[in-house]
Amino acid sequence: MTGPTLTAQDRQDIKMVLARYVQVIDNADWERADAVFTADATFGGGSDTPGTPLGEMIDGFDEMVAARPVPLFPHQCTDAVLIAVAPGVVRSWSKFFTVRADGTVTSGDYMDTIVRTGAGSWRVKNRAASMGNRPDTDPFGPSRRTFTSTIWRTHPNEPGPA
Amino acid sequence: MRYDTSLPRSPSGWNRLSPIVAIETVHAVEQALALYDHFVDNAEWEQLGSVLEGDFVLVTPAGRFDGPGAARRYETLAGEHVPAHHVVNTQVEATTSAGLVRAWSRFLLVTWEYRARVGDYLDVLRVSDGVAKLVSREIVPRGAGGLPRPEHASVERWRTVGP
Repeated sequence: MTGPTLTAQDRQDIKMVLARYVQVIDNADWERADAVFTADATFGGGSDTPGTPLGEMIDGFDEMVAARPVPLFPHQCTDAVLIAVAPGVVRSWSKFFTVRADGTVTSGDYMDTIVRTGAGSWRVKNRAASMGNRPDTDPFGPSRRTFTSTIWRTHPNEPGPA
Repeated sequence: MRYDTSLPRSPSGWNRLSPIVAIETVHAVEQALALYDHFVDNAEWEQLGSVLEGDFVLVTPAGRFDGPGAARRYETLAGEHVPAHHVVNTQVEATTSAGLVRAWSRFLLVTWEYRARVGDYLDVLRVSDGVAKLVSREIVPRGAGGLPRPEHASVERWRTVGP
């Protein structure tokens, strides 16, 4: 039995969405948020916990950035792996790194549910992030790696198309 | 400190014109290389079999490692704190062997001390039914510092010369 598949165009379109994310978030370009997210997109959460709605994230973004112990440094997205889990639904596991003003570097992971919208475009419906490989003394806390390949393939959060 | 500023040479046979590789093959290769990073960074060692051939060969500055456990044995030389792996700039070329392609990528490792280390992956992969698996990998650190282990300094292609 063959499961849902992705065309080369699908893969390219989805990677463009991942690339747009880092530009939108790093520039707080919320007017372009709809080029990345579905209208009902959420952050975090899980099978038993609702994620934070995108609107709440945007509303609190400036306050969140101001409260950070270090500035928000630009993100680079790498290592995206994609799997179609249902028609029009893709799970993506990617990585990010940031280069701080002093040249130091941090790394982490994104895990997304990405859906094909009614207009045919792919958009992020849910995004979760994990902080990877950093000292226990990091301003945001120690390394917290919580993603696995099983979660990537089967995470039940937001399973349906937009 | 002075540096030897001579550039490293391209690996033998690279950067020549070669047959076009299908985009589906490129995607399969990129997926395999990225999955390797995810599995190593999250210590999902049992998953590595999905991206490594059974007779996988890994050539590193720390020596040669063979077989299914090669990647784990090498990557855990760093101890408990394995750096975060990122792979970028992958180019994929056809080979004269059916089903085999080779990929030349740059890796970026982020250490637990917020340092970045870079170098090259020289990979050979077998692609079958849209799935790519690594047949072999050579790891070549680049730039002063190399990987965060003293033994790697001797194989850096940009060598530090003198104080």
